[in-house]
Amino acid sequence: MRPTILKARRAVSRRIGLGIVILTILSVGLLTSVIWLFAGVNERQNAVRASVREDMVWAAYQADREAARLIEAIRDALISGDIVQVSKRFDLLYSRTQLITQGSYAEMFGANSSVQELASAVSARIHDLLPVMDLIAADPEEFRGREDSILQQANIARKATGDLLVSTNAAINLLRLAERQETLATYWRIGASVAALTITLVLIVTLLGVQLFHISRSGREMELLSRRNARVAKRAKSASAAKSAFLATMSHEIRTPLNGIIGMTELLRTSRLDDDQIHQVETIRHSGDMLLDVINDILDYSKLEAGAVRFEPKAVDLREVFEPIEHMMLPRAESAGLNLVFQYPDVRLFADANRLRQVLVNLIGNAIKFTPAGAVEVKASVSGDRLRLEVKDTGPGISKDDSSRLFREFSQLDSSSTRSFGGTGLGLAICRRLVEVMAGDIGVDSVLGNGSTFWLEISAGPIAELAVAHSHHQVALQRDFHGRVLVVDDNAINRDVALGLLRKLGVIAEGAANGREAIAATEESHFDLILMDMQMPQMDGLEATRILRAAGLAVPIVGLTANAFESDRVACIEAGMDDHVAKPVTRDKLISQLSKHVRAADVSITPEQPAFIVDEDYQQSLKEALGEEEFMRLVREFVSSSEVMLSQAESAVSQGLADELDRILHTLKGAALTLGFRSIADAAQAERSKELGLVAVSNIRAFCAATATAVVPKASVTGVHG
Amino acid sequence: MNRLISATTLFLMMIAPAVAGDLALPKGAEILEVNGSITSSNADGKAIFDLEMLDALPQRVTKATTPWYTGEHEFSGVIISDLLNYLGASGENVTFTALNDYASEIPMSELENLPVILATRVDGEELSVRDKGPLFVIYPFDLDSTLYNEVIFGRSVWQVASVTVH
Repeated sequence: MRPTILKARRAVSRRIGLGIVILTILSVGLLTSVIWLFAGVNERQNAVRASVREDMVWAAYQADREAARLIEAIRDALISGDIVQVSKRFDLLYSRTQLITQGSYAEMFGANSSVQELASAVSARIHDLLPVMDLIAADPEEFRGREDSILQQANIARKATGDLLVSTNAAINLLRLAERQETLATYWRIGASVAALTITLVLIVTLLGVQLFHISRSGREMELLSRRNARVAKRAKSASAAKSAFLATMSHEIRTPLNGIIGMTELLRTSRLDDDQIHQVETIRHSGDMLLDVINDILDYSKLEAGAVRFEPKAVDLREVFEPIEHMMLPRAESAGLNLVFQYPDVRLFADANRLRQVLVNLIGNAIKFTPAGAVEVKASVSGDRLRLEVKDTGPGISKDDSSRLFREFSQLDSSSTRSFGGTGLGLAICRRLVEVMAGDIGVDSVLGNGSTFWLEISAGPIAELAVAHSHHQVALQRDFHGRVLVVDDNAINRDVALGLLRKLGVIAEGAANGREAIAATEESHFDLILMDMQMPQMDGLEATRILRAAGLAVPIVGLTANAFESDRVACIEAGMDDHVAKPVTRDKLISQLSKHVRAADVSITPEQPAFIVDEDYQQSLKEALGEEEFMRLVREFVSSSEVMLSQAESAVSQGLADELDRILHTLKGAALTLGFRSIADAAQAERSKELGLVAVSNIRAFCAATATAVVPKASVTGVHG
Repeated sequence: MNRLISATTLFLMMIAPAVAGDLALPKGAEILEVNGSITSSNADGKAIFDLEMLDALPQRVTKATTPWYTGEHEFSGVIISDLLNYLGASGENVTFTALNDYASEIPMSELENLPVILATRVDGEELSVRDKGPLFVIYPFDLDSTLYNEVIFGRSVWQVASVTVH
């Protein structure tokens, strides 16, 4: 409806514009014609002026008068004999004949007119008098005897001038009439043109008025439209804000339970399960991971769509970009049975490390996901100011036709792979968008059946080489840690998952439900690392961190954030945290954080804080080989016999029997190793290597006591029921 | 008595340049008489001129087409303003009177502004009475075409015999 009206209006407006143009051309034409007509009148006036119309009636009248005077002078001469007066009057009359046969008088009537004939007749009559007049002018006496003929001729001349006067008057009247008529006609024409011009101008003004009306109406409509658009835009903006809020909520609300599912699944996996159960648990875990990936992808993509992703290049060592990726991806590659190799030059460049990591993690994740066996090679190279990253796999490869579709949204190569590999198909589209944000190129070189190489190139200048070059860098992951970690989270499931995973990694972990409890915990005991959730009742993580930092606590604090938004990271760092981890907390993420902030178990063991380490895999195999009951019986036996051996060792120390002590400790170590009690064995071995005077059997006893309290009661319960 | 007459004559002669008789008398045929408010004269408050005397004054040639002749002609004669200055004329108007008693008045200011002449010759030939002579008032049509109008034609007196300054 509206567009139709607008279209019609535009058509009307166009027609009006055309009308104005035509009328303007018409008015210019009319104006020209008026000017031309006026110029014509003016020219005629000039012509009249130029032709210099001496009043011809006046001239004829003068000639007639002079003729009359000549007759009068002749009559006077007959009485007085004044011949000189006769000659003078004749000369004056003669000069008149000159005038009426020459100059404008002649021109005015043309050669053939009756007036001209009469004028010629006057001239002829006067010329007839000329010989006799010349005669009497020369000798007045000649007048005598010719009086009558002179008078007669003068009378004839007088008759001719009289006729001329009448005729001239009539002719002039005709001429005046004709001229007046012509002038009138011209005035009429000018009048008509001026009237037409006036009408045209009135039309133009009217059309302009209509046009103005149209314009102002369009203006009003545009204003209304723009107001309506502004309202719609406002609504759209608020809808978009609602979408963002919804996404944030989704992210939090889905990830929190997912955190619980994945964490508990991981814990469940480490408990005793039969093969079916292991498979089921792993399926749960795998599904959870996939679900998380999907959520992350969608969140990332919506952020990219919203333009919320900013490219913030900073000076960074390439190593800093790669190390977290190595920590994250190596376990994954390992569990997939792939060899993951990183190779990059030690350079300092200018890039957005987070975005680069995001792309690399995606590419490497894909490579691991789609490569059934072999190796994934990650290579970085610089040339000039360009950084090139390559992820090369030994997977099935991609055909040329397919590679073009790869970087499109929601595209997976075939539906079967969607089923077998899962995912939204957004990963590479996100990568492409991210690389575009970084003003770089991304692509894939691949031969079907012969692996693929995904590459990206960005401008990362200026690139500076660092002093120590690490052309090949391989990180060995540390799995066992030693230290105390405080987990602060109001969600009991999340907290328990984190605590369980941490304990599995060999650290002593404590929990706190909010910031206030966390501060109280740090006052009571020392921690090597604090994992701090952001949103908690009573006191949130950020505030707690600020208070702790204000109190001078230097312990590394890692924020647990519900999502990977840049704003969260910034908030963490600003509050004084060292790092942040996006939930859910997984074993890999914990390993990565522990590697950074907590000492590895094999570096040293502080006696005050003995870590209890058991070789679980070994114990598991023992259990499977011997049966649960038998294993537990052996453990109980070990606990009681170790008490005996430790007593013996103490007495050997007090008696200074070094050999005896060594034998006892060797036996203890052997027994401990047999049952997988690594900590006890290590402690025994540590004491063996010491000089006798420095041996502290209590060091070993601490571990054995831990064994007794932590394992035996549990084992005995199992034993009773088994 | 004679002495008195002589003394009076002498006095009159002394003041002559300012009153009368300071102009030479005409030798040839008298063709113009100037009278009225003039300071130089040669006969009873009048100035009488022959052709030779007029020719001695500043001249002008006006080459123009006029209503009275066919085609273009060269009119030459004395410039009226110079003639009037020469006679010490002062007044508002000057009246030109023809042999046939036709007369026309020209404002003094117009004569001062335009080099109007009393033509004595046309194309180098003296004007006779039969050819509108002996003197013809000719406006400078060659300088200003707007002079082609009836008022000017009316003022263009021919067969001029006398000029009166008043």
